[in-house]
Amino acid sequence: MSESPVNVLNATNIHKSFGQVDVLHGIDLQAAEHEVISVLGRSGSGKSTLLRCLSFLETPSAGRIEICGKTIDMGSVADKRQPSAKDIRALRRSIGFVFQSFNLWSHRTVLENVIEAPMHVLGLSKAEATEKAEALLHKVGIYERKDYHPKHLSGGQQQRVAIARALAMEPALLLFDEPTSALDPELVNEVLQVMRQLADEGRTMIVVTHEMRFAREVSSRTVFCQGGTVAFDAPSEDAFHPDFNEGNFRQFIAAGGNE
Amino acid sequence: MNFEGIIEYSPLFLTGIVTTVLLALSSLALGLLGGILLALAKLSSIWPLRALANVFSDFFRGIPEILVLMVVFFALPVVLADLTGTYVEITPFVAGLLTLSIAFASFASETIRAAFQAISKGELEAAAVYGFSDWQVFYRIKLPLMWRNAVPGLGNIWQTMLKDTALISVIGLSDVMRAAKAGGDAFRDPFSFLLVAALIYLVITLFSEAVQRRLEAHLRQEA
Repeated sequence: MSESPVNVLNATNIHKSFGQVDVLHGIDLQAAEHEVISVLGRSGSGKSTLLRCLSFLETPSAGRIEICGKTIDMGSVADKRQPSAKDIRALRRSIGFVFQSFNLWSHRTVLENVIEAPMHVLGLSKAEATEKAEALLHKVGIYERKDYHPKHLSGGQQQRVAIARALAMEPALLLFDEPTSALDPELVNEVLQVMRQLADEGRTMIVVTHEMRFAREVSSRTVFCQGGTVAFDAPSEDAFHPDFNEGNFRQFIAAGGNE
Repeated sequence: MNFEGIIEYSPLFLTGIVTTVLLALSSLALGLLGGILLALAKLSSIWPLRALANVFSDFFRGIPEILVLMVVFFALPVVLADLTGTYVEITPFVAGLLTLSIAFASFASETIRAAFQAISKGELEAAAVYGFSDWQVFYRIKLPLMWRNAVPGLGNIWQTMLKDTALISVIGLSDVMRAAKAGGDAFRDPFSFLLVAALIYLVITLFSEAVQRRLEAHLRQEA
């Protein structure tokens, strides 16, 4: 048996343009099982677009995305191919996505938010889905609020529910799109703590973030985006070593990782 | 007040109430369905569909309901007979149902369109990314969220339609209005009977307003 780690994600040569504006020019990104990858970069560097392309919330203009053995090939910029809705749904089965603004369904309670997709996409019974959801709500520490509607929760609580909702689908790959950027500073830690816990469990995660501490302490790899390309992709301990300065990364850190 | 006359006519008033409420509720159901379809057409990416829906709702919002009623009741059977060669009877109830639901759908389509557009894109993206099919996104997420945005506006249109059911008495449907007219004529006391009709309409609309307020409060609490 081969001992080499299995890649959960293989993204090759991802391009994305909105009209005349090129946002991503040929990004490659791989994620091996159990890896936690922080994607850093200034606003407009394309890091969020990259994550949205991986989940087909934006359709890449070109490139090839393979997640858990399922592949969608958009072809080259010159020879574009349109992915089918069926292929996109199949690919999304392996993904959990956590949004910057939580995007909980406002007409559903906390519990209903978490059982919704397992019941109606995976076909679980209500009892099975509820049992699983309650365990997850315990895990993210929000079980007591399971019958509340999202609008009665703080941002940090909503984001923890959103993480439980993602976990309920048992995704092989978790994508976080600036999960703490919409939170008040005092609520950031409760969400980061849950994410640390997930990292410790060995979940495969790609986190677009401005949280330098999380990138340094939790993620195994740091990917730095600049102008729609990957400026570097390095083990986090190397990237955060004081001598390391590719792509002006030191100045970026000095500015606090923001803007 | 002619109390004896009113008591004598109370069975007629009662069937009138049933007819009025039945007509209003069935027009609401059909009108809501039509309003949703019109709103979806207005939001469609296919321009002929958009144009058709806009022309339809502008047209029926722009002409008096009683005119539509006359056309449906008196002219439509003739047109249908000419076209198909067989006479199709349109009962007063069906004529009323068609007229009121077309009017309701035309007005409601604007409210519903705006309510669909007010849904946050993120909630729909979340549904898509968790693997819902387009149809599931529509009926599990879009429709209930639209409903929450639309209820206050739809309530107003409903109140108007509830009163417009009285129009149908002119083509002979035995509704509340018709009972009042019949009683007033028989006893030469239109005032008493019209007053009773007014009270009945008032009770129905006040009751419906109370239901609507509770519904709105319930929805506000949720989302």
